Amino acid sequence: MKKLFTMAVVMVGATYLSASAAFNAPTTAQLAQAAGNPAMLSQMLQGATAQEAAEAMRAVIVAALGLGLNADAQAARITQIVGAGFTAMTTAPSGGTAAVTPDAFAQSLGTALGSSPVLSQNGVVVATILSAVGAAGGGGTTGAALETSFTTALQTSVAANVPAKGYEIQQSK
Amino acid sequence: MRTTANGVKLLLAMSAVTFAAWAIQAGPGQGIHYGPWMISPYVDESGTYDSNINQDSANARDDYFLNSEVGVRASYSAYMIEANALGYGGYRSYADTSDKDFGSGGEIVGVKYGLRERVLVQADESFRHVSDVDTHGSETAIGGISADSVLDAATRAKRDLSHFGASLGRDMTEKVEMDFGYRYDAARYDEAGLANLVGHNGQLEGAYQITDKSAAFATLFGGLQKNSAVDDAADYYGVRLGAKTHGTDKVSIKAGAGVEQYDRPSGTGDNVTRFNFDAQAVWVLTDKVLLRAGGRNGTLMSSILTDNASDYTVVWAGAVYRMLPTVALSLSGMYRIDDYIDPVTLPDGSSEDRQDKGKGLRARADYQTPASFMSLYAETSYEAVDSNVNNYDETRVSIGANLKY
Repeated sequence: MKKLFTMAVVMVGATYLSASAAFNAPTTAQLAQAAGNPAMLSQMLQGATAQEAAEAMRAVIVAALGLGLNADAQAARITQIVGAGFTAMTTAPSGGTAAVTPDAFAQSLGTALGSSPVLSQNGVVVATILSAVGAAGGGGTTGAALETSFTTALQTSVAANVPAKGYEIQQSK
Repeated sequence: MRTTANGVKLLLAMSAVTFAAWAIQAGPGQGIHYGPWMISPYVDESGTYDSNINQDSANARDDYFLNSEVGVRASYSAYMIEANALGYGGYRSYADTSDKDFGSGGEIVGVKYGLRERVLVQADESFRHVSDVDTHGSETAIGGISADSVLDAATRAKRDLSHFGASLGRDMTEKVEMDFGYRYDAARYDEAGLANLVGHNGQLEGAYQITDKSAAFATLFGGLQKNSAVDDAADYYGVRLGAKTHGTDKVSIKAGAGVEQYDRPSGTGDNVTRFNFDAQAVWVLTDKVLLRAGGRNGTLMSSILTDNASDYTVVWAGAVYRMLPTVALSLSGMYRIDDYIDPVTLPDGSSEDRQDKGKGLRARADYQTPASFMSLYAETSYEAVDSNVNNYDETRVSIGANLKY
């Protein structure tokens, strides 16, 4: 009986923990709060898939652009957001496994950030994100995964028309 | 007419000065934010030397021109949704050849919603009144379908461009991806002798992950091309098979090759079946240096030789060096061949096969000043066309400033 009770408690506990870890889509107010305090990302991203977390981080970085920070402070904030989100998603809790591998998350994050028209139109923000990758991913394949995914997404969203934009022959009749 | 043009120029100049003063007082250059909304007005001023303003093969005439553009960018961002819009108007005035002065303007609206693991929906639309190079055209890319695969990128005449595009993308399983894209483009020319063009282009692509780092894909594509001088429409369809890498290495490649069937409007000539390819590569050389290369081919109706069509092939390569967070240098080059299917009639009445070979080089430096509302740029470009109908080369050198709130 005692064993059954213990099992029941464990099952209920596991169910509760599972439910509590389910990802809740962040509201715009929560995104703004996380932009002001990137440490909140570890809570916000609980239970998120790689794509959900990457999209939330994209929205938080965009929200950070509206905080009125000077250039240095803005770069530092973006670096904090990338670092905090990356840590939340790729660090294994004690006795558990990480939500996603660093390389896989780097790909999702790179794609989400690179395909954002708002972020990709700002050269300084692009440079800051690329530099934040090195710190967050620790270089190696993870850094390359984010940089390449980010750049590939940039190419798709922004530069797909390079020939048409850069070269237009004047035809003669 | 001249009075109106001068009035527009005066209005633009006053707007530029007023906005510059306002931006200097306002400072940050990050836009006006209200919750998830942001608007960012801007002014772009540039001066250019052009070695051959009419792209003439003989009697090249050089001139200087001033480009002024005033616009507003707006965006909305929340979890799973991002929307952006641009509205702009501009004017170009030449130092000596004032009869070439022109105004331009337009709008672009785009929205992105969802996640690929559920479904990602993207759509955009645009209207642009353009003369010379369509500088905002690259902002209308949708679903990876380039504008130059729909319309001939082959005229600098005054024109109105309309565009709508939509795409759906979904990761069906951990290994299977599906993407569908559609775009509509129309070019209406303000010049006798140029036929209006309309293009419908659809594309369905499925990819299957083979290893952790690579996937194979198949692309089905097709569409219609309509020329206002010809009653019937051309239709085309094709398939490409290819492979792509997932970006876990510093090099990312996506390349596909296959076959395209191009059925010309009835009565205009033989249908064409040809090899078709589309390839792109990105190489992150260091954290500051990025290399890109790509190429594609296709068949396009002509706006000038109305019952003709050209097989085009274009390849390009470029490098970006982010020397500092505030300084970026870029260099790009491209080579394009337009090979007309039917012989063309020359001014002397003779008939000859026509092939245009064009090449372009562009170097650009962008500098974000310490005042975040202002960035500066310098650019030089060279293009040359070698054709048995018309040859020309042209060099442009520009410097400019962009002020934004």
